[in-house]
Amino acid sequence: MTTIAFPTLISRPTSYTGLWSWIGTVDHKRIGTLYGVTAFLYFLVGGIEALIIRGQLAQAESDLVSPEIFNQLFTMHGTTMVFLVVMPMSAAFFNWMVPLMIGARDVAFPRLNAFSYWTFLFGSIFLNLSFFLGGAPDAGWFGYANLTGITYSPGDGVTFWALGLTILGVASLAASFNFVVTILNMRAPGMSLMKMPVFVWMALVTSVLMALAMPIIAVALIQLTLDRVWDTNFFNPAAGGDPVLWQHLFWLFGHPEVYILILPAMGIISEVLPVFSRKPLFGYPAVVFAGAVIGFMGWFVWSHHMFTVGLGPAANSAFAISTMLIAVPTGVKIFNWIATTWGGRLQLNSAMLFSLGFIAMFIVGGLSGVSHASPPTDAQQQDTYYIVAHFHYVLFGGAILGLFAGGFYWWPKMTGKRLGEKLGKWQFWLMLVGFNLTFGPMHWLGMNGMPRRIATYADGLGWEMSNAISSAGALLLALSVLLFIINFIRTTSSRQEPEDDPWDARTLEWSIPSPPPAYNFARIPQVKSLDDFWYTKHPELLHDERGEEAAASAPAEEDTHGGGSIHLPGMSYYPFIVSIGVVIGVAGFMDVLVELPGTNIQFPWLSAVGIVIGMFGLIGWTFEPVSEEGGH
Amino acid sequence: MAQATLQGQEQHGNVADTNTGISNRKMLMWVFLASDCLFFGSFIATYLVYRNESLVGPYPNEILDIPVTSISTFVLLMSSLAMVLALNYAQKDRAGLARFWILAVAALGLVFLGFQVVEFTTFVDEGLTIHQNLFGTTFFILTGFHGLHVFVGVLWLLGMAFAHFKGALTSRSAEDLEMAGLYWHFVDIVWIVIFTVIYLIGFSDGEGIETIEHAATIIGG
Amino acid sequence: MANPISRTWRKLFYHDSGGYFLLPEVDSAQPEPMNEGPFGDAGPQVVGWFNRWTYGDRVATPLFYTAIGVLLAILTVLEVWFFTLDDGFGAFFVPMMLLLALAKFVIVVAFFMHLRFDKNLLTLIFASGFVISIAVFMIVLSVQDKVNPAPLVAP
Repeated sequence: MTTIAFPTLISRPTSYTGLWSWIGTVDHKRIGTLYGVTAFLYFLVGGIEALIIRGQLAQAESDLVSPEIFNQLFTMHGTTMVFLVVMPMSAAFFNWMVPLMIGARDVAFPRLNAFSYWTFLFGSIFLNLSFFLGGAPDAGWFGYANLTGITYSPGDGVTFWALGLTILGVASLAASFNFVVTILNMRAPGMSLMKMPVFVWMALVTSVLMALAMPIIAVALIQLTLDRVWDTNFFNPAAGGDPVLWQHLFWLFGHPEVYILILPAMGIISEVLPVFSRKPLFGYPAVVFAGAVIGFMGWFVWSHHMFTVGLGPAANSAFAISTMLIAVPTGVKIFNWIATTWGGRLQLNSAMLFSLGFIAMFIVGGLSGVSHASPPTDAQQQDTYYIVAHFHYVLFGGAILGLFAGGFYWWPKMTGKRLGEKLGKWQFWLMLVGFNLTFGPMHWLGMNGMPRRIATYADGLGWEMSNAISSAGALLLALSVLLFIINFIRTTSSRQEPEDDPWDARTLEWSIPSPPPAYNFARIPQVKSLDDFWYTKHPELLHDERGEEAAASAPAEEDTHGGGSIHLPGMSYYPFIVSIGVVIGVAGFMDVLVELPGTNIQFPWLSAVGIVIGMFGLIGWTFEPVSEEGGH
Repeated sequence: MAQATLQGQEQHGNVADTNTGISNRKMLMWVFLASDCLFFGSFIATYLVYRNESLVGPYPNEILDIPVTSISTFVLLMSSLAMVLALNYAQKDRAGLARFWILAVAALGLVFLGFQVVEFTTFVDEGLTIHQNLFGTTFFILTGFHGLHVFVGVLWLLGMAFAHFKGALTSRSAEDLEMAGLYWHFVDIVWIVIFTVIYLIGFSDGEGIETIEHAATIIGG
Repeated sequence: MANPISRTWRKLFYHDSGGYFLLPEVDSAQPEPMNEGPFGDAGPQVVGWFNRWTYGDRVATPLFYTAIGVLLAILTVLEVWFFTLDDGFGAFFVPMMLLLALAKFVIVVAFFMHLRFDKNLLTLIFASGFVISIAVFMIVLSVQDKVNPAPLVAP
């Protein structure tokens, strides 16, 4: 590497503290922290949007916000929660925990990892800038054509949405490639695929799904953008274009996306439940296979979002069957989790409570999901609040509770301090009650015919009571999130003695100090079995020759990387620069086209600027050595 | 793309250090190509969904020039051969020959792009634009994105040919060239599909064509 | 048994590795004896030739690649020739063209992109993207009535 002589364009950051060290960081733990903090801030933004929506709907004929604002709020609430909260929060845990759990010193491509984060951050800022630049997107989070066409959405909002999601797609793609390679290639010696923790398995399945699903939405968004900017005909019925094509492309991405959102949370609770049940995970191979099968079958169910489009009885029947079938592997997982807790010595702390809450709420959401797997039933429920209730039970009751479980579980590892248990339990119970008060009545609202996405409703339809309860529940939810913030502040300012392994846990990340040093593992661990760390601590629990061998043998030999010569990748500004180039390049397709002289081509001049910046960054990136000679 | 070229030297980049025996960046490249299958798959599927759905002309059977496109297809196919020869010579430490074949690949790629520019301008002159009908929209955007991929590949290869650093284009850094090669071959196989589906099969699309047999008589006549 | 999936499969079901389900040993699980196929040892012979010819000493020669290039060129000429034939092959035209394209696709991926010589995992990675792409978009086309479109006008 160092034989390549090339002028250094921008020197590396040298200090390990301060703003520039964060901009130049390639440490997976720091990037994970950045993801987590950003995602939590967007959780608050999306939550405030939801509170305004519930305030508007709390009573009939309310005029808290105008219908235009209401449309923007529910569109941005959905987009924010899916793309800017659950996905990056999962990415935060992937970044933090996957290298630690597989015994690696970093991800496979540290600079690509930094590039993912900065692209995500700039894309999310670009998307939210729309609020201040002529109105946010207002066509719903799945932006059905041809409502998103220039005729029906003449403002810039939908263009912001399409381009913003394209940028976020680039970030997700880079992150998913990185994690596939990391998990397949960087495991500690001896850790075969079937000895990986379930969370790492779910990270692998999620990354594969992201790598294959994101290009589809990118194409759909490119087509939408070109329709709006260059007047093409992809979704223009006047030229024969078919809006149903958008629905196919969107849901071809959208259904794998649902599993991208839920599988990380499933992985988290598969780690938390065994630790606090003091038992191994029941049926590890079955849980892993169920996750992989979900990842495959998730590709063949997308048209259940389109039962009322009129695809015909054959298509509807086929997709109804595949949708009902995919409930089977999900059920397998739920039975395995319940069996894991069965007969265990349960420790009902906050992380465990959130995990158990996940199981209960996810079952409710799963059952309502199976109910609209049947096309005739779905025809009654399509676009009603019943659907809203369903997906909040799986995404809030599922994904968000699971992510909170992961937060409470891994906080001591990430910061060296335990989050307050008392406030944590208060938060859990408030959240569980508030959640059910908010979304439970929506089942009844949907059954009574209340459609989604209406800004207000007339008095006397029988919807007032349920809506009032729902809005009251939303306040409880807000209160519970406030408790988490208080808990966070109190924990951060408290003094605690850091513990390496406060929960007596099973996986490798607990075998190193808390918070982990920059190089993670002083020596790379040797893995002999599933839950290797657990059996290293408790060799007497292995009742076979392997256990006796483990009990008898001395600690593994020093790894050659050990001692004082650990090479860490150097910090770099180039990922940050390339991200800026990507964002400016994509943003160039906003309303800033100039006509090329002598032709009628509308040229996005700002994109050219972005490409120049991106090329500069890429060249510097390519010729920058990964680490300085002799750097540690 | 270029970010993939040197990624392999990042931590644990050596083949011996990975669990699978595959270097990190090679696996990254293949995951990227698998992902790109879905990207071009979406565009080709869009084209096929809108087959025979254009409301006004020009239609494919009035405008597609099969003989000319056959030549450009042949050019791209032969560039793939040149690419694999370049890699072969780099692996055998014949840097001069490797550089010659890389330049041949880039030249053939530029010839292909030239054909595409001529084709696009001809079509626009004959009234087919991205605004005109569904055929124009889907055709130009699909082949345009493919052309963009070719262009990126040409830049990448020229960069490889002219970056005179020590050990370039020899067995030590042959994997750099292999990454560019994988990308280039992928662009080629995408064109194999496009040529068959959009040009040879799609040629029969047009006004008043009801069945495949009918289309066959038109092609024959 | 290098493949993790087949290894896991054995671990789950097979009798010889202490699998979880301990399936009984059956005759069909035994490997086929050599030279008892329907064609004697002709099959293994051909496979052996093919392997030697394509695999060689792991780095194929420029001559080999040139031969592959010529084969691709011949397939392309065939495609264009079929296209210009007078009777146009009728209903067989489209499947024939798709088969030729698939053959070219596979040849480039296998030899020019070295999947034939590389670890099987890379084939698995690429095939997952390619197969899912073909599968889902074929479903889209059939759902959208594009695979065997009904005649627009009655003949």
